[in-house]
Amino acid sequence: MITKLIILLVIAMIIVLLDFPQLLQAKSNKKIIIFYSILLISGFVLGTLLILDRAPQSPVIYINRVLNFFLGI
Amino acid sequence: MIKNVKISNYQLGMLIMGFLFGSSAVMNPTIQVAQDAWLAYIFGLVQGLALIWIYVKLSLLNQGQSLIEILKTHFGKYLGTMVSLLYIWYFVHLAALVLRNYGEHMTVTVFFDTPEVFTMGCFALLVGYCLRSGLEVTARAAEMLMPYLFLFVLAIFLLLAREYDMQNIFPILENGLAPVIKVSYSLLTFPFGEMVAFLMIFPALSSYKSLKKVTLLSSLLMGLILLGITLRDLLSLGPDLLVRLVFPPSLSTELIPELQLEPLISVNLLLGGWIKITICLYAAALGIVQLLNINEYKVLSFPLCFLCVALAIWLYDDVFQMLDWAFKIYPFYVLPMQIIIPILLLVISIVKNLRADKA
Repeated sequence: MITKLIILLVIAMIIVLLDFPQLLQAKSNKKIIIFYSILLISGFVLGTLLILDRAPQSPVIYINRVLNFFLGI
Repeated sequence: MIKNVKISNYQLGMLIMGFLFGSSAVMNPTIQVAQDAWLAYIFGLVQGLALIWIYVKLSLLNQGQSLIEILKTHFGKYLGTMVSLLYIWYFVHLAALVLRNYGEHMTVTVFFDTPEVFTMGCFALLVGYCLRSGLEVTARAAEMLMPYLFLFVLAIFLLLAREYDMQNIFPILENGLAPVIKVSYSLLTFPFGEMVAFLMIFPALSSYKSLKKVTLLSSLLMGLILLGITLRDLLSLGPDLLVRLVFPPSLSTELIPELQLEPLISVNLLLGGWIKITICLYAAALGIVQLLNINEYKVLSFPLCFLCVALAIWLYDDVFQMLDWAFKIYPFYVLPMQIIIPILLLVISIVKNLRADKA
């Protein structure tokens, strides 16, 4: 489990390192950095929760329930 | 809008064909109606072409604008932004669904002992690289690689010819027309309705002149190829076996004597899936930058792919849940994004254009 977490962290760090020059050059710096961070952190948190086996229910289940409520599928 | 991105008509045609081929060649919803699968496919294809015509018409009425820009123009700032966010989620979700289809197929048929996350991660790396290189690079790669896909499909189709049994399509409409119509709707939403993502690609076309012809022709051609694949699996495997299989094409290739051609199915899925995921994530990235009014989408490529892999693993517990979702729930889930909102946008566009003409 710890190995998997370390691999996940390394992947996230490699992505940041790869994108770092472009992030610095981006014209509307703040907006893009905020959105970039949201996407990366979401992926990392979700990945961590999946590795720890603590991930919340899949969105597919919620969509299923909503459709079941409205359409009775 | 990213104004400097330009692709040719031929490249657009190849992208459309690869996108439609995507994962639909290995996950065919029409197999639920067994021997009537081919009939359901024809109904689905006709409905699909009508829906694609709506997308094309919408794009022609709002030339140079992407789906996000059209939404902002017609729905206003706040509602437009909310609906745009819904579409961005849908494009990321669709990319994750296709990625999972790819991962499951590879695990079930080829890489039995390789962790699924590794297979999907490698694929996402490829998609990320393409996204970062730009749409033109993906389009050029599609232009170069798609002929191989046609070649492989044709080769398998012809090599299986000795195994075809025409009795497998009988009795026609054994359970009536209703199940066939129902399944044809599934086909409308997967893959034809997913072409809504191309509303983000059309503005990158060098000329709108041949948009309708190119889009409809390439969709029709790929629809016919997919119909051929459906018939191939039905005629070679028979309806009883077809409805019980998770990925029918993999088994049908095993019927070819003295040749192991199953990897060709995986290569085809790799080509189609790669184009489909790249287009979906391009649409999502472009949607994000257009919402934020910035001009740089490429930097979001790898974080989007990273999120996509995590989402793909999170979505389903196993392959059976995936199939159940794809065939039963998905057609209803995508109804607003693929049918209701585009039709509403088309009506608004037509009314606005008529008013402008009168004025």
